[in-house]
Amino acid sequence: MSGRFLFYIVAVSVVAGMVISCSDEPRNPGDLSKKCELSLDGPAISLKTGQTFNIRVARETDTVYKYLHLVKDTVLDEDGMPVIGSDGYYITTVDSVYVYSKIKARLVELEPLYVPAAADTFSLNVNSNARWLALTPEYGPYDTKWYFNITATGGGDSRFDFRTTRNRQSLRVKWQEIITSDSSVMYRLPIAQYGEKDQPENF
Amino acid sequence: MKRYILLSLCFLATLAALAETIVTGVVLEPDGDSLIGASVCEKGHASAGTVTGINGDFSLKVSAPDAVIVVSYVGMKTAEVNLEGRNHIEITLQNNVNALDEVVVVGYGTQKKINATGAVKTISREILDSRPVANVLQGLQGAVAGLNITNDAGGAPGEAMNVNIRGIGTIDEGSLANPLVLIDGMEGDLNTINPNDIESISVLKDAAASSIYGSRAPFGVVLVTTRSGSAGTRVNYSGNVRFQQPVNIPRSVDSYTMALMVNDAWDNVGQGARFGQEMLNKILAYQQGILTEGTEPESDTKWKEVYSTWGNTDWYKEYVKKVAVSQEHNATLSGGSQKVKYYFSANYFDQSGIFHHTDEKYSRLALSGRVNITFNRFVKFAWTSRISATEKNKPSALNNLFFHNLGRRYPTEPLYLPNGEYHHNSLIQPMEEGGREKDRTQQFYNQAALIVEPVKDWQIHAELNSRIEHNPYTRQFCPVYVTAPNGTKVPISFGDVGRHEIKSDGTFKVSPEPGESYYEKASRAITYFSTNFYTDYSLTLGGLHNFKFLAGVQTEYYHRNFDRIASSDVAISNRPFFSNEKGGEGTMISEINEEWSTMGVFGRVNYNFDERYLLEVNMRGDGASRFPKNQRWGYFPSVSAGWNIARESFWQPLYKTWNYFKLRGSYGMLGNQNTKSFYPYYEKMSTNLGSAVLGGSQVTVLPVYDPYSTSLTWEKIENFGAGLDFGFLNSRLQGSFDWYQRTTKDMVGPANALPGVYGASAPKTNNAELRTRGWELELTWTDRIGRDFSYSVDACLSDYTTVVTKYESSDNKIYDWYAGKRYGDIWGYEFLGIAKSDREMAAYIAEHSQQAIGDRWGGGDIMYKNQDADPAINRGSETVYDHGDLVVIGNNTPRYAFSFTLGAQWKFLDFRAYFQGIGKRDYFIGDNTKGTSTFFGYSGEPWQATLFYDHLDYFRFAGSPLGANDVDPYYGRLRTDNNNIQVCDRFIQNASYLRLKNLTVGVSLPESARLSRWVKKARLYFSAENLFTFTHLKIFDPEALDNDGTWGAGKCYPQYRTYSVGLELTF
Repeated sequence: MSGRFLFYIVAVSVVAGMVISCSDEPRNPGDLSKKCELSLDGPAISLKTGQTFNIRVARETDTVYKYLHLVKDTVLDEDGMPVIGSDGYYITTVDSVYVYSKIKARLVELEPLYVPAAADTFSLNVNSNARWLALTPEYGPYDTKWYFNITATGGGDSRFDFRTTRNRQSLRVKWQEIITSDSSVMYRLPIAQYGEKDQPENF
Repeated sequence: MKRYILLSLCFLATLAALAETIVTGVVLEPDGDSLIGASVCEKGHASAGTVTGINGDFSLKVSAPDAVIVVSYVGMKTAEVNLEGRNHIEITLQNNVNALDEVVVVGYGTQKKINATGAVKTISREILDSRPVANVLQGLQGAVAGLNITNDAGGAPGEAMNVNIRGIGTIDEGSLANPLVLIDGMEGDLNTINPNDIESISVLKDAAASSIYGSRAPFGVVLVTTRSGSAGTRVNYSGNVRFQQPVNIPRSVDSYTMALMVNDAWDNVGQGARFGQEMLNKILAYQQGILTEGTEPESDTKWKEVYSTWGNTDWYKEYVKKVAVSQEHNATLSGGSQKVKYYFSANYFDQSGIFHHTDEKYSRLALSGRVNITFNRFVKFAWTSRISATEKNKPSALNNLFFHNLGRRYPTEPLYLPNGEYHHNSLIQPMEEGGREKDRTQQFYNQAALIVEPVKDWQIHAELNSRIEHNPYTRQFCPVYVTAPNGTKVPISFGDVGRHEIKSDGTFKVSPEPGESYYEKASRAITYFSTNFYTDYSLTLGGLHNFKFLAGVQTEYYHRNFDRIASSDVAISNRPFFSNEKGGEGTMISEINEEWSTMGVFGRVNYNFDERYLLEVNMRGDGASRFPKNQRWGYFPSVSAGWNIARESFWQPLYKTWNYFKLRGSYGMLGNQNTKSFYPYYEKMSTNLGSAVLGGSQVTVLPVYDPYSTSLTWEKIENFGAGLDFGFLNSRLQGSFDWYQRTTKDMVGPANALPGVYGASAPKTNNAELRTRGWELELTWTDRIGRDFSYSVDACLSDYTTVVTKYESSDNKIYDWYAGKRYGDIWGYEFLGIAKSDREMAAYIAEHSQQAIGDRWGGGDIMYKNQDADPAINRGSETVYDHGDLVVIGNNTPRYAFSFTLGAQWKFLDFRAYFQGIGKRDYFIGDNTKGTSTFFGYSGEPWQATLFYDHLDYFRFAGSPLGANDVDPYYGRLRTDNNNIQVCDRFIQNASYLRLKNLTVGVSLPESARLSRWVKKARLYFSAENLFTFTHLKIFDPEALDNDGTWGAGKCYPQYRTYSVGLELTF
C-alpha cells in the first residue's frame, strides 16, 4: 500500500510537473484575417479660414492589382543554340506579361474637391484600422509644384493635411491617393484648385 | 540419492519451523495509551518484522526463545527487549528527547539546541546527498531560512553564486557584507570544497551567535564541519554522470519575420524600410531552398553582411547544445582504532559547457585527509590537509560580449560563406581558433589542532591554520581570418572595437584589433595564516545551575600579491611567450601587493538554570590593520536570553502535545572591518601618462593624491532579534520563527560634497546608515505510516526589506543612494496605455507633451502617466525633490524566499523532491532609463536589435504582413529609438518563481540481499535538477537575468536542467 503510495507520489509529481511546466511556446499573436479599413471623413477644413468643403464618393470599385513582369529569353536557332547578334552578344527578347493579383482591392474614387485659388492648408479626417500612406503626387520636370501633402503616412484614425499655393491662373487638378499599407483599399481624391481667373465669385 | 537429500532438507526445514517461537505483546506510550503503528522486529532480522495494531498489540515469529525484540516509533526512543523465554511482553516506549537534545554547532564549540539562545541552524550533509550540484552553495540554496543564495548570472561552469545572511548589510560603497565562511575553524571557500567531505553546516545568523568571531563576521557565519574517520575501515565510492540540458533559451524569429520586424522598427521612426522588396523576396527564396547561398561578395575583399544578406540562421540553435555531459567521482577511505582515526577523500568533478564550438571545461580536483590521534585521556591532536585545484578553460572570445552578440546576430546572416568557411560575423572562428582563457585556482589548506583536557570539562584548544593559494591565469587572442572573395585572407573582428585598458583593480580590459596577437599572463598568490587559542570550562552547581565559560585569542594575517602582464608581441602562437627582442610591444603591466591582519580577544559565558532559563553573554575586542592606529581597536558586546517554557511545571498539561516551546531574544553590536580597500585611510597616488614628451615618449606623472579620510573607522552592526522554537507531538512537528532588525551604523559613505573649485571628490567616511528588518519561519514534520513507510516535510520561508536611513547625498539623485531609499527600488513611469491611433496619441500629447522622451509619437506608442503639476511628461531633475513623473514602480529585492522538501522512504526505495523559489520580485530588464534589446527587441539604437518570437507581441495595425495586433499587445510598436522602452510599470516583470530544484529517486540494496555481506551500502539513484519552473517572467530564466551589467540584462550564460544517474557504494 505504502509502496504504491510512494510510486504514485513520484509518478504524479513528475508527470504533473512536466506537463504544467511546459512553457508556452511563444507564438505570433498577429491576426492575418483582419481586413484593412479606410475612409476619408469629410469635410475638408481650411485651416486658414475655417471654410469647409464636402467630399463625396463618385464610385467604388472592387478590383485587383495588375503587375507587370518582363520576361526575357534568349533567341535560339534551329539547333537550339543561342543566336549571336551583330554586336557580338546573344539576341534576347523581352515580353511584357501582366499578372493579376488574386487579392481583391477596393478603389474608392471621390468627386473632385474644389478648393479656392488662395494659398491655404486643409485638413480632413482619416478613419482606419491600418497604417496608411498618402502618396506624393508626381510632377513633371517642368511642372510647377503647387500641391503638397503635409501628411505622408498615418496609423489608424488620424488626420490628413495638405497645402496648396496661390493659383493666379486657372483651374488645376492633382490626384491625391491614400492607400492602406497592404494596398487593399485606395482612395483617389482629385484636388481641384480654382485659378484666380476662373474661381466662381461666391466660392 | 536425490530423494534422500530432499527428505533431509524437508526434515531440516520442519525442525527450523518448530524452532521458531511466536511471541505476542503490547506496545504502550509513556502515559499508558496503546501505540498504534510501532515497528516490531527481531534484532538482526529487520526484514521479517511487524507493526502494532489498533490496540498496540503485535504477534511476531522469532528464531529463539531468548531473541531480542526491537521496537521503534518516530519521535520515541527505540527499545530493545530480551525475551528471556517469555512469549508475551509489554513494552513502554519513552519519548525521544534526542530531537530536543539535538546539537548545534556554534562558534568554538557545540551547544544543545534546546539551550541555544542565538539564531542558529545546523543542517546535516543529507541536503547535499545525491544532488548533482557543482558546488556546496548550489546545494544549500533554500535550505536555511535567512541564508539567501541567489544567482542572476546563469549557469556557466564554475559560476559562483551570491550569498548573504539576512539580507543586505551595506550599500557596497566602501565595505563588503559577505558572511564569513569557516571550514573547520578556518576561513575557506564554499566553491572549491568537496561537497562530499562535509559532515554538517551551521549558519549563525544573528549577532549573539556570530559575535564570538568578531569583526570578520558581522553579517553572519557559515560554519562547515568536515567528516572525520570512525572505528572500522570503510571504503566508499560515489559517482554520477550528469546530462545537462539548457533551459529557457530564447527563440529567435526566422529571417523573413525578422526582416519584417526590422522594417517596422525603422518605418515607425520615419527611417524607411531596411529590407526592400527585392531582399525580402531573396530571403523567402533562400528559405524555400531556391537560393542556396545566403550571401555574396560585396567587393573583392569583403562578403556581404547584416542587412545585405538573406540567409536563415538560428544562432542560438547553432551555438547551444541540446545536451552537455558532466561527471563526478568521489572516493573515501576512513577508519581507525580508538587511538587513531583517519579519513581520506578524493573528488573529481568535470563539467562541460553547453556551447558548440567552444570546448569549454570546468574541472575540480579535491583531495583531503584528516588524522585524529588520541594520545591519552588528556591530549588529542588532529591534522587536516586539503588540496583543491580548479580550472576554467574556455575560448577568450566566450565573454559577456559574446552573449550580447549572440542575441543581436541577424538571422539573415548565413552560417557559411559561399567558399564553405563560416561567415566572418558568426564568431565561430574566434571561438575555435581565437585563443583560450585559462583560470586556475590551487588552494592548499593545512590545519593542526591540539586539545588538552587537564581536568574533566576543562579543555584548552590550540589551532594553527594556513592557506596557500595560487591563481595562474592566461588569456590569449590569436588572429583569425576569413578568405575574401578574391582569395586573400582578411582578419576577423572579435565583435568589438579594439581597446586596451588597465582597470583600477589591476585587470585588463582588452578587445583585440582584427589580426592582433595578444597574450596575457597573471598570477595571484595568497598567503593566509590564522591562529585560535581558546579554552572552555563547564561547571554545574547544585545540579541546576549550569555554566560554561569560554575565552580565547585569535589572530589572522592575509597577504596577496597580484601580477599581470600582457603584450601584443607574442613569439609563438601555439606556445605563447613574451618576446625579449622587441622589448614587449604594446605591453601592459600591473602589480598589486597588499596585506591585512587582525587580532581579537573574546570571551563567552553561558548560563542556564535547569535548562529553563538561559543566558549568554559575549564580548569581543578586535584590532584591525585597516584603520588608523588611534582607531584600530573596537569592542563589541552581545547578549541573548531564552526561556524554555515547556519545561515549566505549569506546562505539564500541554506537554503531551506541545513538548517544546522556547522564547529567545538577543542584542548585539558588531564591528565590520571588511572595507573594500585594505588601506582606506592611506593617501593614494596613481601614475598616469602625462602630456609632456621626453625622449620621444610620454612621461609618467604622479598627480596629487585624492583626498582621504583619517577618521575612517569601524562600521557598527547593531542586531536586535527575537524568536521562538517549538515542537509538537513528540517533536514530530518542529519549527522556529525569528524576527530581527539589523542596523549598519557608521556605514561607509561619501562625505559632504566639496566645493567644485577643490578639484576632487570627497573621500569616503563613516556617515551613512542602513536598516534591514526581516523574519524567518522554519517547519519540519516527520512521521511514519506503517512499518516500512516514513516521510518528512520541511519548509522554510523568510523575508527582509532594507532601507537606507542615513546618507549624505550631494544631489539626492533617485538612481543613487539617498536617505529613505528602500534597497532595490525601481523608479519609472506609470503606463497609461498604448494609443490605438495617431488621433488618440495626438490628443494625449496635446495635453501631456512627451517631447522629453522622444518625438514622432503616433498610434501604437505608449502614453505615460502624468504625476506632477507640470502637464508635460518628463523626468524632472531625477532627484528626490524633483522627480518629474517618475515614481517608485517596484522593488527588485527577492522577497519571500521559500523552499520545501518532501521526503519519503519505503523499504529500499527513497524519494525526495526539493522545491525552492522566490515569492515576490519585481525586475526591469534594462538600465535606469530604458530597456535592453533582449527584452524589447530594440534598445534605442538601430543596430541593437535582438528579435525573439516573444517580441512579436507588439502593436501592429491591420494590413501588417505579420498580422494585426492592435487589441491588447504587450509591447508598443517597434521603434529604433527609446520612446516605447522606458522604465515603466507595464514592463516590470514578475520575477518570482517556484522551481523543482531537485527530484531524487533512489534504490538501496536490501539488507536481506546476499551482496550485503560484502557491501555495507549500495544505492543507485536518479536525480534531476531544475526539472521544472513556474514563473511569469517573459523570455528569461529567473536565475539567469543578468551578468555583470556590462552588456545589459539577460545577456548571460543560460541555466540548465540536469539529469543524473549515480551510484553509492560502501564496503
